[in-house]
Amino acid sequence: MNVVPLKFRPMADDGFLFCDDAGGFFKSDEGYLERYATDALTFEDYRFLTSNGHAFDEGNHVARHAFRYRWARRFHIPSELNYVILVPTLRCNLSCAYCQVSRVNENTPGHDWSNETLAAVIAWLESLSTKEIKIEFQGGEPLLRLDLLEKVRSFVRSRFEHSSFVVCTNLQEVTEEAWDFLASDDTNVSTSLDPTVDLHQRHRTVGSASTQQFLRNLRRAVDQFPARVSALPTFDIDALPDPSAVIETYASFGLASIYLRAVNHQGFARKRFRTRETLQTWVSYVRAFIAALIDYNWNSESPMEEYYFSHCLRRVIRGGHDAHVDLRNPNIVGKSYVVVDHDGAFYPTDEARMMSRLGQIDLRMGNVRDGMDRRVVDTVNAEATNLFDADCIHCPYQAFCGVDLIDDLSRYGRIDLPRHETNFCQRHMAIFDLAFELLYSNDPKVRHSLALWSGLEDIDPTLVRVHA
Amino acid sequence: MLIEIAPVFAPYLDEALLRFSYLHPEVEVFKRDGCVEITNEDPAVAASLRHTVYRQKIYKETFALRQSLIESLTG
Repeated sequence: MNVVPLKFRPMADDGFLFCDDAGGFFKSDEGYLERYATDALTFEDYRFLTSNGHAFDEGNHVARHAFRYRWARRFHIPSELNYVILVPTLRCNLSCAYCQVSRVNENTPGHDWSNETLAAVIAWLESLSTKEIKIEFQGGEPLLRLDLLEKVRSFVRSRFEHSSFVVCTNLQEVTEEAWDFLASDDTNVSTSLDPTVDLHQRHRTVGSASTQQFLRNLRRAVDQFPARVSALPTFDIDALPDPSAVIETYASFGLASIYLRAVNHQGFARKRFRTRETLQTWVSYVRAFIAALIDYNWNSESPMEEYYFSHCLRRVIRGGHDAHVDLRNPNIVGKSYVVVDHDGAFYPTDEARMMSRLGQIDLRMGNVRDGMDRRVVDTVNAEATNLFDADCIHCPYQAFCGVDLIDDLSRYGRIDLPRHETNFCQRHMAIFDLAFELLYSNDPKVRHSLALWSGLEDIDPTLVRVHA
Repeated sequence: MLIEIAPVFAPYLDEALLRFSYLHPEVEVFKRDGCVEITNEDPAVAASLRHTVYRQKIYKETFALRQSLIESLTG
């Protein structure tokens, strides 16, 4: 009988969680752990392990093949390049305290695509082999160059069989021409809405008139195309609002997803906000927020999710949830998506673009005129998996987790720090601890929200098995 | 604190203690005959040491199976 490697971790309530490489898991006790570690498994143990997919007879090719399939589903295989983030301008009409991207003032010359750069971007897009593409317009404030957005979108629609677009806009100044542009069914709006209106004004819009203007624009957007608008808050670790106030703010605009996102360490904002030694405060806040959402969903007809926790939960339940670029394994950068900056330079990620602007490390991958140069990025990519990491190999969450080497580079200037000392690891340990704590909860309120967030009708007992 | 280590773990003990020392640099570890002595009285630290030994044994003993599964996945 082959028992696949089982990695374990004590749970908060004195049991142990066991997980295999393919993401199969169960809960048991110290007695089982002792038997497993000392080669003293009983017939009942083997029967349970077999029924839960952790063991198979040598000749049972179906069971072995099934395990391999489940394991393979845990790996992210990068697609061909089909997701392009374009930065047609760095200019912005706001000066937010915790701006996460590089930006310059609205009237600063020399930070937009030139006609020559636009032509090179179009020619480069023309050369892509994909039939399906997603274009994300970022900035600066991309609506300041609506003319460039229109030209790119028009070309992309005619060039590719399927295309979709995201405009990352602050929705501060939206002309009628821009509203017309945003009204297309293939175009989504991603904006910033801070945890509360007061915080939004304090950190972004500054004045009451500007705040009201933004709120009117956001209201118009969610009224006009509700399914195509998303908003992201940014949290200052030293001014965390009551979770119910954030939920209320988002619910008032009919927004069903909140992404708890602290001020980003990779950008300029870290000069003005605390981004180090914040983890315990942040983790406690996330736990309180999830608890508040669970209560809210129990009594609400319009449930809400916290995006990242829900994403991690879905990754626990089954493989293949690789839509979020910061949590993949392997996390190959510069392959299926790239950033094209205001000067035509390629970057593997937006965070890499920020790090270059800060002078921390140059991760440019060539430019739209001369083509891609992947040498530096491929060096990073050689380490872009947790599969053989000396720490991760013992971690029960390995199958659900990933790596974020850009984050490691940003925080520590290196990618070989012991994993458990990194912010990435500590943050994800806390998230997965919470996910399993809730998965094994019998509270109907908890099960109700977990089912909503994971896309299941209910948390079936066969999913969260316990071996006595 | 003395922690008894069963003979079945002996082949994996050195590697496990190396790993434990790196996970708990504040704790001194001494290998004794059939047991390990640590300069810490916290039962949670003792449990961590035992679990580190378990993990090392599991890792080593399942390495060949894991390797064959990876090879069959990657061709």
